[in-house]
Amino acid sequence: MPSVLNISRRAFLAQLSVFAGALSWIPMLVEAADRSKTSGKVRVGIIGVGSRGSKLLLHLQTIPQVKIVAVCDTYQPHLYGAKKMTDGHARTYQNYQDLLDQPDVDAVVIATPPSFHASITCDALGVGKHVFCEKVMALTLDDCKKMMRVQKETGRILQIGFQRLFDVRTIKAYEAIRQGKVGTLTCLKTHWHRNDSWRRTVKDPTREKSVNWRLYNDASGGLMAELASHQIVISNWILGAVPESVTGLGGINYWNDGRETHDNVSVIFRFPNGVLLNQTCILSNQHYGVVEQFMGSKGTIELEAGKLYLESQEPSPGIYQLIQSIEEKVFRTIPIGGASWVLNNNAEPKAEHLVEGLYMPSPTQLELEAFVESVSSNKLLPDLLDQSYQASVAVILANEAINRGKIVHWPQENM
Amino acid sequence: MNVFYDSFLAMGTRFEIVLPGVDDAYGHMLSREVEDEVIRLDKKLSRFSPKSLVRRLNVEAYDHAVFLDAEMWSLFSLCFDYYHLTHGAFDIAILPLLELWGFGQMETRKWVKPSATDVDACLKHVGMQYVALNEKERSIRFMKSGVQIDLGAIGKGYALEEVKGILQAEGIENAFVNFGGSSILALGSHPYGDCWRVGVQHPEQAGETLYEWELMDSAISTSGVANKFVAIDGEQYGHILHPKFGYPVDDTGLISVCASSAIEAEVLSTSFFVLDASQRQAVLGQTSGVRIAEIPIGEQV
Repeated sequence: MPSVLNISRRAFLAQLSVFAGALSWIPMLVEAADRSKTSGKVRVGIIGVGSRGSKLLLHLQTIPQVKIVAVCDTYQPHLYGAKKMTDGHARTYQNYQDLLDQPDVDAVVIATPPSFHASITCDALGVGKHVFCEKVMALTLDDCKKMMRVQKETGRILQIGFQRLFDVRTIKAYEAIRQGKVGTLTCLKTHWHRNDSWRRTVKDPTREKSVNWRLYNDASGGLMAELASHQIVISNWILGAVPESVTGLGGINYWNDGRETHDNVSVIFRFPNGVLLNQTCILSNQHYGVVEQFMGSKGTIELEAGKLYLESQEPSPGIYQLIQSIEEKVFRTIPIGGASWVLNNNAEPKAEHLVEGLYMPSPTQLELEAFVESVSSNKLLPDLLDQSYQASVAVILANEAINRGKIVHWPQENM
Repeated sequence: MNVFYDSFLAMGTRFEIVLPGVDDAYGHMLSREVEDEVIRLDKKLSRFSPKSLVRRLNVEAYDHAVFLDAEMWSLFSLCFDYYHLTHGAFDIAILPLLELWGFGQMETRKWVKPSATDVDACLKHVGMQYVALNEKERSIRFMKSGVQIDLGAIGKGYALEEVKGILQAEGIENAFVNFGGSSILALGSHPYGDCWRVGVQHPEQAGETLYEWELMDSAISTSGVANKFVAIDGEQYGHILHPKFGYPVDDTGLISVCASSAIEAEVLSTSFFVLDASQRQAVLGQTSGVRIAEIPIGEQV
């Protein structure tokens, strides 16, 4: 069996685009791989070069047609660090407006706390920049809608950093589900369990909120936005729907250190046809780690593990003999009817691997390549922005459900 | 050669499909299409399903005529054709009788033999003579209060014909479909033979073939009460009721019918169980290409 290790990156991506109709952003990646040698430079400015922003910077630098011309951060050490990563080439700014004024910036990458996403994105789009903004889109429904509206008005590229839509396992799972391998999807369950406080040490107390923004409600959507959103976006996409309603609870039961955002949440989303997505996120136990279970009438996909388990589907005895006769290339009578047979429930579940071989391109790398291709060709990746918007709205609704202790319904759409 | 296999539950039993020479990806696509169609029919035809058309008819069709879609119009027309062909042995309006005997839902397991008076009273609203189709309106109406229908004696056959249509439209030449053991659809032939050979098994004795069919683009349906007796007051009764007399048919054997249409095989196997040998011959005389196997089973359990 040929290992994907031995096939080229382009061939690997092309292999993913078998279901091109449904996986509409994958063919763009193939184009990106083709174009990388020929096309002109995309000049990028990065706004927010903390831990996530500097990681995006390193990924972007490996893309041949990208030139990082500017970086922006309110914190000097981050700014110097980022400049150093570009071998001193990038100009530095402390105010994002100054970066947006630069005519040699074609596109900006935004990796600030989510409370700033909407204003920076809209300002950037407004002056003609293309935008890659980290997930989640924003923390209020109005802000999300505004970002969608400004993107439409300006016609610039807007992509949100839900990199799990570029994860090979996700794509393979989507394909397997569309092929009917797990039958009818009836139940989705996800965990995102960690055992760490999320808190970073702050030497200068005036910087507490900007460093530990995740812990404060005005800057952060908490566990739902930071962790669960990655699993929501996949669930929406795989089910081909948005939730009808959501309910949930949350609280602080371990890291009671003055934070505002919860250290444990449990939510249930209800999708069309009564399919429920059950999610928990905790910060006090990591035993179950990151798990996505997609359960259908014929099988289960464990996404993080990249495995597909089929329900016991032993053929009835007569059909079993028929299959054997074909495999042995002999013509035999098929015994049908007769004494009733008993299903063997003791069989160990057999797992299939969703992805063969070990080669798994980084989802973050792929999403950034897709963004660069999108900018180069000035074409929005089909469906991707809608998926990002819907997942971001779902997070907002879930937080509303948790905070108000209510069932919250999907809003009537009016952009 | 890859042998694609898949199964799912529908119409109260298991549906199994074998597609020789079909790769898994294409097979899954086909079987999903097949499953969607069979489940759709199950929901539409089941008298248990709360939103089914049959349920709606059983609730409303005495009060007012119910309009039928094209599919149901042709299915009910077909039911009337078979009702006439079999001189009433095939009857979709037998449900009140099944319920009187407690055979409507076999899992209830509480059977009391109804009195002769009860049977006579029940028979007064049993039978398709009380069901009227209006050709102009394409509607159906029950002419007597208490009339209830059940499409169990034709549903699986109808589903198999639909499955045949799907497979043929997709260019599948060879396929073997087992719908609960009693209904089989065989398209083309076994890849290493010139037909599909099917051995009807003894209901009790494993491995004993009672009759062997050679099938090619045809369907079989097997009916019998063996293994499905109901004990009432120390007596054994089969679960197939005579729609005219109102009592279980006293026959312990199997009747297997082969026809090019799965619907015809399904309808006739149950009907033949009710009819005697000369009546069966009369019906066979009016059909073409139908073969019948009357399989006696030695002793009653």
